[in-house]
Amino acid sequence: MGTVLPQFFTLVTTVCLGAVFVALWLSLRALFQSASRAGESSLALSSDRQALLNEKHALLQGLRDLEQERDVGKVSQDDFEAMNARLRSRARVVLKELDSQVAPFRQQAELLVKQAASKGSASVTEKVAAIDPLQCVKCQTKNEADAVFCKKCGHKVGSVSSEGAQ
Amino acid sequence: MPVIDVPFFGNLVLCALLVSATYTFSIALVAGRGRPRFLDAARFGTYATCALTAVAVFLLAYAFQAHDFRIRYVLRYSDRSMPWWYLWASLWGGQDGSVLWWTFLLSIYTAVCTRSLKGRLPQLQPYILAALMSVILFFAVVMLFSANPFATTVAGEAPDGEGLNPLLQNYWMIIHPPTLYLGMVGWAVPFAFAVAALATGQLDDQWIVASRRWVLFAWIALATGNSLGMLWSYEELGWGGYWAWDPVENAAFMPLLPGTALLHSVMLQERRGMFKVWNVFLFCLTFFMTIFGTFLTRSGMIASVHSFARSSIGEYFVVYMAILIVACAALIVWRLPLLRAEATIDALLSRDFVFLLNNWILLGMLVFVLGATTAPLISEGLFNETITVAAAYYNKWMVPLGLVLMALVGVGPLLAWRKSTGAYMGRVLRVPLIAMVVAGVLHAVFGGGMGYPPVVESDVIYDNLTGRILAGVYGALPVVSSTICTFVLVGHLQEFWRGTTVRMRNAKEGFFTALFELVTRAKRRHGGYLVHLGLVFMYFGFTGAAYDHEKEAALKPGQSITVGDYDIRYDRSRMELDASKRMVFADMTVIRDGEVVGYIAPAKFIYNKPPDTTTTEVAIRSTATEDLYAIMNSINPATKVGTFRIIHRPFVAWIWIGALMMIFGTAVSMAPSVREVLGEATKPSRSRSMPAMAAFLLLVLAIVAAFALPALAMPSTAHGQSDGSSSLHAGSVSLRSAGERQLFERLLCECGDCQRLPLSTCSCGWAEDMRDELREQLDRGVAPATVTENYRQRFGAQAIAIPPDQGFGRALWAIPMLTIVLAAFGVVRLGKRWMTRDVVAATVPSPESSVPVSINAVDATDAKDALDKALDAELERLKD
Repeated sequence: MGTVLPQFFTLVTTVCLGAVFVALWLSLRALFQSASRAGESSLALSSDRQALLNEKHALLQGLRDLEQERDVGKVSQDDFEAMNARLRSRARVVLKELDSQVAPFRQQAELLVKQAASKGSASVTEKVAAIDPLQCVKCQTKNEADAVFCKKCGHKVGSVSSEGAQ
Repeated sequence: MPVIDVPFFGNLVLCALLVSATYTFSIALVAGRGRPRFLDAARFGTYATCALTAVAVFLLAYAFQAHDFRIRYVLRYSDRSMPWWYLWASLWGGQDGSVLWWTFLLSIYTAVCTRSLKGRLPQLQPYILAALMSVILFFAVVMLFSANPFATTVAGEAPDGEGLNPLLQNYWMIIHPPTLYLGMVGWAVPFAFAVAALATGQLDDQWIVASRRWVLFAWIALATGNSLGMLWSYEELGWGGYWAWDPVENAAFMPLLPGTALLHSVMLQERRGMFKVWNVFLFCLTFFMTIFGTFLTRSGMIASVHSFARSSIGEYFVVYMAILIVACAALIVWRLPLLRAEATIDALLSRDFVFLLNNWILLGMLVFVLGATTAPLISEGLFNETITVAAAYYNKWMVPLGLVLMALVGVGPLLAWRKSTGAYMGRVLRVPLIAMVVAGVLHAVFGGGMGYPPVVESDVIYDNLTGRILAGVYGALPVVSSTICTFVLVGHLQEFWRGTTVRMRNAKEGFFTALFELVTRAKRRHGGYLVHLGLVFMYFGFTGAAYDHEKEAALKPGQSITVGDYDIRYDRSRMELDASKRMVFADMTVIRDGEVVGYIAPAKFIYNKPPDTTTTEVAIRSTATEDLYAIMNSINPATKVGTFRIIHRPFVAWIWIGALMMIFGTAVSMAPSVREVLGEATKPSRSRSMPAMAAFLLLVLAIVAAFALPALAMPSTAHGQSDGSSSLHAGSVSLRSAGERQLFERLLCECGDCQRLPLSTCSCGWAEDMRDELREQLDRGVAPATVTENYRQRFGAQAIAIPPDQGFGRALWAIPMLTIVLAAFGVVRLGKRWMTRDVVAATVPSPESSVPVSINAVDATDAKDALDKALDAELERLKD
């Protein structure tokens, strides 16, 4: 034990030191890379989505709590309605905000479906498959929701489908 | 000679830490000013800074394991004979190392927080990172310039170290400080959220919701740390108590008060949009108290049994605290217009108002403890007279405040939000009130016969009306406490019962299904109730101290001593040896009503290093109703006559049960819902890591608690220690009578080496001589008051544990109490004013208008319907 432990801590220290260099390198790279990276726009788009989802969850739980309290007789009907209205109005704002964030995607999707439909029904199924924004047009690989480039061939995901539409 | 030049590398790493933290801090600020791409750089910078702290810690750990005695810190806190786990624990055994350890824990928090924020809160995130970095930056400065753990010794490398204080060489040392630090450091994260909210002006509920789990985790870690501290004190130090109101204990206790206050008042903001300024203030205050607590502990400015030597570290803390105050105040004032309340209080008889009262009493307690803790500093500064405020003073004054708090805990959950009608109050209060009266009557009638009289005698700390009132309240504590505890208990059980029966009726569920569903569907509230129940248990346990029986006797083998219902027979003494110490045990048999119920073996350990260090090992026999606490003062090696002190104290186990209950309740509160763990139905959620991390950390806490359990299960294997080498001389003292104990509790040992120890527990030679001298005076018929007065004249005001009820001593209790009473009036007036304002405002109650983001007016009605439907659907989904 007496000899193993110092070696163990040397190892751990070295590993941590390695982590320091990697993190610093990544940090500096992020600092000096060009601003026009694709990642940034997607970050801005999904910006506070998680926070909004959390808030929605909290609001829904608050509403449920409130109903529970009314059921137990702890809150009178009038008070229930007033407080319910406050929570609901905030929840509506949150839902609307969440909705509006996906609106551009939805519009794009609707547009694509329309275009596909107008090009003739024979190839609709093929087109629908082609406009799946996550499927790579080049190699047909299905990619993750947040993918920017195809994980197999490196082609930009979603870009060609819109080009094709043009 | 270790292969790595640790002092050189260590200092290099500390410098790098300073640079890295500054870099990340600046980048994060730039990111916050509207350069989102800098955010990625700041996030990686944060990871780099945290990893650097880890490098420093592991480097120091290496130095300990490799016995690098060139380093002052290693030399002073370890030696070659120590096993590896104590070498590891030495990391936080002394001043310099504990600052590094503190920074390390902070960087773990920071890294986890950064990870959980990935892709979330883009506006708040840069400022959260910047705030956390600023704290790390401060500690880096402290380490580099004042408490450098890598500093080398002047004398060069020594052959062996000085060794860790034997007092610290037990498993509590490995568990307790890290848990407590985890609780103290944890408040930095909620503080960072508050600062970020202030800096960005995004002061709606978002940041409160996002920081909730961090708050809960910091709270429970701090509460657990304090409880473990009590357990350590009770098990190890061998003076028979668990809380001595030592400045260092107060330092750990004080952040808990505003922390608890904010846990309650954020609910008002979430529910009603009120108290926004107040909440931000409480977040800042709680963090400030943790820094202040560290300052108290580490600067050595206030005498304490835990204190380290005076050092320059205090100056850095003073500057940092000043910066904190100015920065927080400026931010709050700047954002004041945004912090306007959206609603008002409607009735004084409402849960809203009780939350306000809860904040009032908790902060009142804070003011009182803070005043008493800093009194020596103030007195020295203003009057150039050192005074001491010891446990006897706090115990008397905190009891009434604690009773008010418990009463509020009982009433609060019963009340409804906004307002409670008279009929409702009658219905809901009926059962708890009846139970309370029944409990009081039962206690008054049968308590005395069972050995638990409703009223006990209490000593009078001031010889005037104030003192007699205090003594009266303290004396009536058992019956008041039993009735209030019953009220709180029955009230909370009624809450569970009512909720369950409603569910059984509405959802047609069986009792247990309904109860389970009730708790899992409103985890926060019911978890909170469970924490309240834990508090009741703890309070019940504290009350047990009123029934202490204590006896001291010199016994020959075979002789017995009777304490309470028990006869304790001293059978024999035996000696055992191991590599580092000699152990002298006294085997004793516990007999009740002629039947043997158990065996206990208090002991003395005599350590080889430092030479002739002795520790007192207490033996505790613990049951649900009472503890038997045995201390061996001495054993004559020739005659085998031993002197023992036996304490019989009811209900102590309930303190630990209550603490476990609190951990459990908080775990229920924090538990992620099934949805959070599995993610939204279609795609996995990023928030998954956060609940998982919370669950993992809770698991760690639970394991820590599990370590504490054997202490209850194995009463006769005592680990208790007290040594003669440090300033800590607490331990075994023989006293002859209760009156003598009362007197000695108020006089402090003035040998110059012992800090704050009363003559009733100090075991140093000076104290022994002084006790003999005073006993002689008492025998001559000198009144205890005269003895105290003479003692004061001889050694000055700092030698008296309770400041006299005059001059500054009176201001010490009068100012906090006056503040509390005035604040009570203020709170009620505030509530009333809000009520009248609400009548005016009620004519235009448009909920939409109070919402920051307004709905597009054109399709408002249509959208409203659609959104309402969506909302109903979501709610329906949540129910299933």
